[in-house]
Amino acid sequence: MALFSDASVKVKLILVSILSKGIALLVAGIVITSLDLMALREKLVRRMSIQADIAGANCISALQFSDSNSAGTTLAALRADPRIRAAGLYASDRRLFATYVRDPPNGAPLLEDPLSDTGGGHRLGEDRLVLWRTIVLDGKAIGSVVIVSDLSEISATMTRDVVLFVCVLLGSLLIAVIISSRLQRSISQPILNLADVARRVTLEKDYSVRASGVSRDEIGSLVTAFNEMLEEIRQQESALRSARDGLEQRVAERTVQLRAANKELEAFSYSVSHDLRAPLRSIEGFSRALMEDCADGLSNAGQDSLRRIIGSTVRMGQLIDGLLNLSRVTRAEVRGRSVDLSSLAGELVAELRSGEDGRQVECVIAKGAVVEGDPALLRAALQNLIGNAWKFTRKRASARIEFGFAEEAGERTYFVRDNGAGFEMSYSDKLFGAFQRLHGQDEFPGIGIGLATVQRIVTRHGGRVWAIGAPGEGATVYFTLGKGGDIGRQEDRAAG
Amino acid sequence: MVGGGRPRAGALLICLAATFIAAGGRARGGESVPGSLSEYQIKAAYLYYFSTYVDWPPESLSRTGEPLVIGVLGVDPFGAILDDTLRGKTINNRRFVVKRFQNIKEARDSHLLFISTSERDRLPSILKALEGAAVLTVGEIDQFASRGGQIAFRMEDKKVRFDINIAAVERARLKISAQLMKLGRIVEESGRQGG
Repeated sequence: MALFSDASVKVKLILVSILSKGIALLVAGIVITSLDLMALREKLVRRMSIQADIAGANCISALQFSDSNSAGTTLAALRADPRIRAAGLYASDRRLFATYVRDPPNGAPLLEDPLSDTGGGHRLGEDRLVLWRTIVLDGKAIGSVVIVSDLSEISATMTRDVVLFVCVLLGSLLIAVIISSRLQRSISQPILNLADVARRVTLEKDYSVRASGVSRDEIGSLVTAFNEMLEEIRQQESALRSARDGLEQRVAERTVQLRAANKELEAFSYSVSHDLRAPLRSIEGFSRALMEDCADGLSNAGQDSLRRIIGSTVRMGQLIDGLLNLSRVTRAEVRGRSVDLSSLAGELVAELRSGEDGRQVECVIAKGAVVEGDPALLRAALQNLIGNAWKFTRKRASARIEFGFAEEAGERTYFVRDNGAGFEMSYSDKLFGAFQRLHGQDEFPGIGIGLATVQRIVTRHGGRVWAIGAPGEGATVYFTLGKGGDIGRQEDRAAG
Repeated sequence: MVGGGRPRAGALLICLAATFIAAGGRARGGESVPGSLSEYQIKAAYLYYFSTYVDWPPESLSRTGEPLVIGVLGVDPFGAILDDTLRGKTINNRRFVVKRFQNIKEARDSHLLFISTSERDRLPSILKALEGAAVLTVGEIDQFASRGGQIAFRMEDKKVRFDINIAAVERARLKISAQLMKLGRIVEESGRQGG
């Protein structure tokens, strides 16, 4: 059965056809042959009964007059039927009265004692029929006739029938094979075709192929459904592809637009900052001149106002410088080089110490933080971070600044930690915005551009920056730097 | 089947032998067993059988229910045997009546007439007297059939056989069945006057 289920549709169809026809023919043949055999036997029994009756009737007078010669002559008339091998006439006392034997040497033992049933009976052996009829005259059994008949005629007929049947069977099966092997194509060919197309679709992912052989039957609708399915897949695939292509194109267009807009914006802010400087300088210059030359002519309030003007112009100048710096950071080209952040941090701390001698600050700097990046930009970033830490620990008696790094999941995270003023975590998203300040100018001076600059630099290196802190507990700024090889690509993203 | 037939045939012979012995024993008790019957028992039976194979002309059996007369002319060799044999027998709903005659004149009314050996010398006159009568004549006188009788008993190998004179039968307007004719020996008439 497993062999059958593995066979191809073609073989299956032919086998089914042959098997069904073969079994049907076999059953029909066996039934017909058996019926034929029964009919032949019945016919023989009937014929022999008639012969026995006739012979019996013709022997009545011979029995009455005890004339066995005459009875023998009567029985000898059975010679006309070649099937009769022997016949016997028994008197009413079961005495064998007369016999007829076709083939004397073998015939005598063929005769058997007739059974006593009135009327008669028969016994069908393998090779012969023994039939007996009681001879009745005036209601009295006066003797019986026994006929032994040959079955060779029946067996010859049966042999002929069986041979004929086998020939018909083989012939029919041959015709069935020929016809079914031709007709099965109308069923198997579309299926094989379909299987072939399905295999091609699976292997080559080619959804444009179509199965052929559309007929009106179920296979036809299967083929049609399969083709429709393929068409749908093909359409969806092409829609998907065109959507993807469109998306890529749109992204590229947007990138170009964004890049242009960004450049424009940077150029604008640079020129604004640059151009704002001249009037600012003139305001500052004339304000200072006014202060120096005409201070006596001004009231205290006027002098105070003038000082505020000067202070504001100085601050504005710082803001403009910050903007320019930021803009420069954004515009600057990132050059990949090996940079030792540890020694850079050391230098920066030393600079800060020399600038403000009186402070006691504990500085811890981890060795060996060598990265790939732009030296100038990274220096600017570290300067901002360490500068911030220096600034916000000013009010601490024992200030502490730490630069270090940690490896986590294959990514190196650098940090600058201080125990300064700290910040509220709910403001952490504002920390890196330009001109965003969490502390008052009088508390910690600054223009709020430092962390924005750091973020730009880190971003341009393909990294991330974030901060953790609590008010009065200090702050830690973490950052990562993208892998050296990624710098070029990250530049694109930063530009976008 | 064929192989099994031989011992069976042997058994049959033993059975037959036993039957003969038993039959011989019973025959003394007066039972009618073929093969052990007396000569006249057989002849009486034959007379009955003859009557079943012979058709009489309609005028001799006109009335329905009229008995069939079996006559014995002369010294009766059967005794009671003939009456015993025919007792209760019928043919076409006709009973049998056995009559014994000493004179041919009376015997003309018989349908079947057994002519005893005692009438040997009177045979020509008897047959002459029966001319034109539809009477089946049976006898056991020598040359009975060839001398003008119709059916003559004779012994052959201790068996009762019979001769038939077809011409005499036809003269009596009787019809004898072919079944009977094939059993009897057909004899020609010899020395019959005017034959």
